[in-house]
Amino acid sequence: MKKSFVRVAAGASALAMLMAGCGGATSSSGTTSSGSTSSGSTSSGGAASSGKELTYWSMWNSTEGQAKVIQEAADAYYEATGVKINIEWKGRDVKTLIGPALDAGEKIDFFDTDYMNNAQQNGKYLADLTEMAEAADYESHALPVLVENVKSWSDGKLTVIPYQPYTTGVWYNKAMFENAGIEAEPKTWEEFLDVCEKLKASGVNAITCNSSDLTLLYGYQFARYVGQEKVVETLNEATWSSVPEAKQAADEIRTLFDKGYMSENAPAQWPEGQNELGFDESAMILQASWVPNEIVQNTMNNEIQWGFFPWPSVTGGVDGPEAAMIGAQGFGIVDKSENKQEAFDFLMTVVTGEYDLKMAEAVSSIPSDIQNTQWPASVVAAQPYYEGMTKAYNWAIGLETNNTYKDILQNNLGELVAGNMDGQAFVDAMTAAK
Amino acid sequence: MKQNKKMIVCFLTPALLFFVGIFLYPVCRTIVMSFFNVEAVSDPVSLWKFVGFSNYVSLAKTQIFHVAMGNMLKIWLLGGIGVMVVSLLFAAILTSGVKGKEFYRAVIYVPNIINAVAIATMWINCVYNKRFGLLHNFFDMIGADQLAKTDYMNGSIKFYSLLVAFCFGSVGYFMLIFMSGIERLPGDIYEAATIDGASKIRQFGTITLPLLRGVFKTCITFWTISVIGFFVWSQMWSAPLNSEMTTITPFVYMYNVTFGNQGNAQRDAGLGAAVGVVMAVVVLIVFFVMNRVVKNDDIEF
Repeated sequence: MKKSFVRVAAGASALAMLMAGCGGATSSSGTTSSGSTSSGSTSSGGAASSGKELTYWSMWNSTEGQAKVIQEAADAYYEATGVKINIEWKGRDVKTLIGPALDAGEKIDFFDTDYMNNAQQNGKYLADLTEMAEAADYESHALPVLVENVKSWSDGKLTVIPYQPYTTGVWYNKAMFENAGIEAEPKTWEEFLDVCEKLKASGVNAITCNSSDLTLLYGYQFARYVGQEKVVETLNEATWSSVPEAKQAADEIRTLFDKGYMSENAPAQWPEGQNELGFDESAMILQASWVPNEIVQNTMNNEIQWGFFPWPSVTGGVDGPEAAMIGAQGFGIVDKSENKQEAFDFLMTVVTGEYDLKMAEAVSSIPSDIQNTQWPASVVAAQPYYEGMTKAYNWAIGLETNNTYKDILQNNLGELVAGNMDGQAFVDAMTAAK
Repeated sequence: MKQNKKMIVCFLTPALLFFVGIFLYPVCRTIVMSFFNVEAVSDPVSLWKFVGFSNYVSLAKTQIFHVAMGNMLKIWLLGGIGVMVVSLLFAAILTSGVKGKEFYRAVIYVPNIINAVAIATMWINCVYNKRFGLLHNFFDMIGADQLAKTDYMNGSIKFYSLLVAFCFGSVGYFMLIFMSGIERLPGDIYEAATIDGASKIRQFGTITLPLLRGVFKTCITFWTISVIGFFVWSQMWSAPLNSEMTTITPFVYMYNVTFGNQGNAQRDAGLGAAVGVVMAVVVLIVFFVMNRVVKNDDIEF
């Protein structure tokens, strides 16, 4: 009796251990892969179910404005076609999760992350959508420069469908410009300094920034002189001392701080710097087109009339307002998916037409469909520049791409604007760091 | 007693299989990976390119990795001293028969059960904020205008603002370990010491501390592990960037090189694996040194 009890107990324990092991493995993969994940799926009903189901790993969390519109589009797509889209809201971690998941054979039909990241790092998983795009006349809806970028990163193939595009430039409070008697937006560095002087005289901070924006400020100024390629080359080759514009751009950015044009709280920890616009303390900020919405959300200030102008040109520089730091999120369809056409058709409903416009309105962003010309009020000032732009800079003009160098650059820029370094010392420090 | 071999096999095999599959295999794979050039973590072995020790050589030459190691060492040493001293002090006070022990113990332990992200957000927004933060308001109230303007989230002070916040959250955990260590000590030793005329402080210095040697070893080991895995706090302090020079730690650097960041940052899972191996070696060295320096308790009680 005793012996058989022990046997049963041992068997039960072994089974429990097995189950615990399996359970542990499953739940750990669940937590690492999801974070704030909850599964969304289309509602039942509507058109007869085709029996087809697509799995979408999303970079959004289910509570975000973009997610709500995508869910709505998925529901509508199911109503119309009977194809069900199962959405896993992974959040931004999808960037690190997607590769291992696909390598492990997880069945995913399409996913999204930063469009550049997607095209460059996930290219081997992605299907070539060129033919489907041609058949759907997709390119008549997309901003050419974004599509060209994708193709340049994927050997001429269209592997990623950009959406939720952003552009960058100087966002400003129109009322403060009027108050200071400024009639025209500055086009050159000298005019920009003049505008700063007038704003300062009117009693507000001319410009402000987050500490994470220093690479944007310096990158823009440097790139206006020499172009993005040379900026990245200078960073990677550490040829700072042989590029005089590197020092000049540093000195000019420091001028903004030395002359008191920059808010005395700047550079401030994100989002304190940008919030100064919402608190009516500062007039301008160099940032991406999501910043007006963020400021309104953070400070509850709906009164601001947003103006926009591209970062000014410099004397003897190679780039002007036609060059801007732009980007987008991007959908990719997995090459192994058996439902590529269905996934593509669904994505077309998200990135063009009605749902694209809805998404733009939901988060005050730029529509990705260029035929949607009704931009949300807070970003509409950037529209003419965006449409006329021909040269795309990467994020921070590529200054944040070098993992062994970017933190040192960030730190030295902090020292520069704090007045602890001049342009020459900055250039020397950057050269020494390589 | 006769051992039942079948039973041993029955009990140990599942655990052993899981240990090998879930723990040993990834460890070995990581060590091997650190000698290769690998772009993405899950790339098949056929895509790996053997590079010998070059990942380690490049780490040795990388300034930002040195900075990260330096930051980690500072957290370990400065933070370690601070946390151990404060938690031992709290433990000594709470085990000395003070009223409301349970209440204080719970209060001091609370930061441990709150998510690190929430605690970090609280510190950044409510304490260090240079416009509305507690410190700003305090210095403003007492008229110290210059101090009120201090920016805790920029420049070299940022590291210390991070360190203080991190240590604040760690005290409760180590206090509990010390408390259980102190409560384990037999009361008769103290009685005898009291009869011999030793003061409370003398008793603490000559009885409690020496008898807590093993507990110290445990605490330092736990502290070392938590500092080497320092990641979330560093990320919170540099948000929205992935990292900053003042607060970067080896694990953050490892994350950056393994997964890249915004846009097209280069990835190198081989280099990331090398960072992981170096950190594991550091842990082993610390354990070895600790075992040599702090002998096990030779007194039985």
